[in-house]
Amino acid sequence: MRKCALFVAFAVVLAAQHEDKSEKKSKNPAIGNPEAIAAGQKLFFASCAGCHGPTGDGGRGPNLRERGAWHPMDDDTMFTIVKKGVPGADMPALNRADNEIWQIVAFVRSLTAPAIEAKVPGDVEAGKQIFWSKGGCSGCHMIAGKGGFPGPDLTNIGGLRSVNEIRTSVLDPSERGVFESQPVRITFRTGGTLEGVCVDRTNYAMQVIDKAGKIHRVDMGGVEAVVFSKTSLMPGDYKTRLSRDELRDLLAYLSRQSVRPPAN
Amino acid sequence: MKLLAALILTLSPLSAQVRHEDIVQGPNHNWLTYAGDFQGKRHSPLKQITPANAGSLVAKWTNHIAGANRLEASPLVYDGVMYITNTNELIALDTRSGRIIWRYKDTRSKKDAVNRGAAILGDRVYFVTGDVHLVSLDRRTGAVAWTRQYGRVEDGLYASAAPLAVKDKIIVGVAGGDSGMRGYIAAFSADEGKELWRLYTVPAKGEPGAESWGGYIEWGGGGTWLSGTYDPALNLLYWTTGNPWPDFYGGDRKGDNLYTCSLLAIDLDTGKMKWYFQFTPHDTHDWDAQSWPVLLDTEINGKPRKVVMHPNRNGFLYTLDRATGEFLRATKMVDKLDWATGIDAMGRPILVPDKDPTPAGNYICPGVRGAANWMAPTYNPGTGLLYVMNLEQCDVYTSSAQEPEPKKNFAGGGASPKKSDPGQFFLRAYDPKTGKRVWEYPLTGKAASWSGLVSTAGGVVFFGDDDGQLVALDAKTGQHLWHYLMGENLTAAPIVYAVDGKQYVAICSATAVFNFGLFEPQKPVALPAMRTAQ
Repeated sequence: MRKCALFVAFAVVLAAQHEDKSEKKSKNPAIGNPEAIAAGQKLFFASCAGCHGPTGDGGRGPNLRERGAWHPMDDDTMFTIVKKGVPGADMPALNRADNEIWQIVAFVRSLTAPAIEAKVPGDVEAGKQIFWSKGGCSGCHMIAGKGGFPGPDLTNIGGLRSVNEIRTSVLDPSERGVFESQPVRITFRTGGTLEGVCVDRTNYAMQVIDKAGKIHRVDMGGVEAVVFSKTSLMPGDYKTRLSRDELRDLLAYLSRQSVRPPAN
Repeated sequence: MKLLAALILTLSPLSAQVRHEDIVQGPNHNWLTYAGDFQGKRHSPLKQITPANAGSLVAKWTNHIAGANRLEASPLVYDGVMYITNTNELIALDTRSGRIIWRYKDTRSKKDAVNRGAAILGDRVYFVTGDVHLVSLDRRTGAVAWTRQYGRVEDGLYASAAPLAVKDKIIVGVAGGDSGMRGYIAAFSADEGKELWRLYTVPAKGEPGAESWGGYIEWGGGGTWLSGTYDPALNLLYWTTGNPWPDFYGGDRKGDNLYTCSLLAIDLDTGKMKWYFQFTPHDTHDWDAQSWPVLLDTEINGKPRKVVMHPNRNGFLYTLDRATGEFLRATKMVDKLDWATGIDAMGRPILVPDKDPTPAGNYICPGVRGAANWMAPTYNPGTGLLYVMNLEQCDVYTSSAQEPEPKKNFAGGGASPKKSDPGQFFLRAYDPKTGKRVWEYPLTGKAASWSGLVSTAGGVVFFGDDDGQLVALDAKTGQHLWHYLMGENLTAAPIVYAVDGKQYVAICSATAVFNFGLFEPQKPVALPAMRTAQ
């Protein structure tokens, strides 16, 4: 009985921690409701598109589809920000009824819901096989400390990215823009070259990860020439290399990679 | 008691006041107005920091401003005291130590908005609150002399620009043009805060210019959210106006939409418009004309001219006669420009067809943030060059014919860059005689900066880059001299000043004020004996 009580106490602590999670879902019925999302999309276009772009891709204001740019943020916080604005920033308060603001929150949430919460269909086990063998993904990416360099770590990809973002990254990697993991070849003034992935750069410094996973901190003063590759190191032929079912299974596997369980 | 009296005697000799003539004179060890001088040159005559020693610049102090997350203020410095603003707040700092001397916050403001700085005149400093009040404070203590409401949040207005102190007047503007409002510029008496005149930037129904509108003229926009410049000889103010509303859909407002996206020359005494020049008639790309009108004397076609130069968001660098508004020239600033093939002899754009936003999205250059924006340019009389921060970017512009809704952030559409083609900033030096590019300095980053420039007689250009760094370039050649990472996005322009004979450069980052000077070893401070008298 004592053991049982202890177990209950432990469970309560766990539950409390779960409650504390920054991405807790609101109880508002608009969230996840297709009609509310559709209504929110219309309102978003009217009231938010001027700054965040018509599809939430950003413009004068931040991109709302890139989860990493502004998450984690729970639904209630998002509601408050839309309703009251952000003090000291350009985000204004929105003069609309609460139920309309909830519809906007539901729409923005739908743009970015993490893949782990989307219950992506497919054979997860088969997808795992593709990741670790046929697809060759693990040659460049890691999951749970295994795999290779210099692709981004995918251990938390399902918790971090939406299904659409993951799908685009797999099928059309060069669409993701030029700032993330840009392949680079550097020639130094003293001779010698370096090839790898540029993870950050300014006119004065660059950080490069090579295929062995070594970080190179480059002083641009010693660099003779830099050549960026226009295309991502990520192969662009998965559309043809894998069958439709294999892609679905791979997506199902990747979508379930999360360091936290999905929110209820 | 005697001690106290002696103390008061010692401390109270009347310190000099900031006079209009001091601002006319331009910056020296002080920096007395947003752009440093009335001409908008943002040029300091200080020469201590040069291309030869700029590499020895170091941070002297940093002060994180509690509650700040997007400082846009260009600091003022008078007599060793720095004045910066944050949302509904004005803060005085000691330039020697970086410590806060006083801070005044209007905690009852009905609107939180960014704030771009203060004005100083006499013994007063002035700033605006988000909910459109002009506030006059004692520069020594922050004591409130008066506050005057000059607009209503309920009418779609807010305020963010630094006021401009000219002669005995304080000039202010309003923002809100992206949600529908009617813009204006207003003048207050500096001493008592009496409203002296008000000039609307969009005519009322029936007034001249109203014929250039269809519906919604009462919500037409024309925000005045950036401070202006002033020519003492002509007694004219130069103030820019923002976009017509709704930003991206022009179907309900057929016509030129006067006086949006324009430069207005205004008689300081009467508030009457002497002339106007509209850069972008019937704008549908949200290309507010908010960029500094820089007043300079140069040669155009071999003849000396008093001109105003204006790097416009629409992609062109304009030169006008500043006495008459006569259009003299416009040159392309950016390579990514496809909505007009040029500017005709009357100053109107020669339009390329089908370059308006569409429901499906239309890829148009420049992007919504414009080829230039309110990031301050600088003119260096020494090099004879005008330095401008240019953004090379295109956007997919989308429109909606949905019934406009004022005051609900409705913009009639939107605009976003393509992921595969993000924007890039370039600092470009232009020759005012020709309007042509002399050199450029490409920036790295994600095209997120809003920082501006300052130049010095020492031959250095300072600016905030797109990676959160303050950078010094050789003003003649554009060669990199020095940089310092502040580690957050920059939304303000640097200034240059001196205290105790030493030159400094100061800039606000998103959350802090940074102060830089040439390296010298610190001297140890022997702590004094300190006690409380019994």
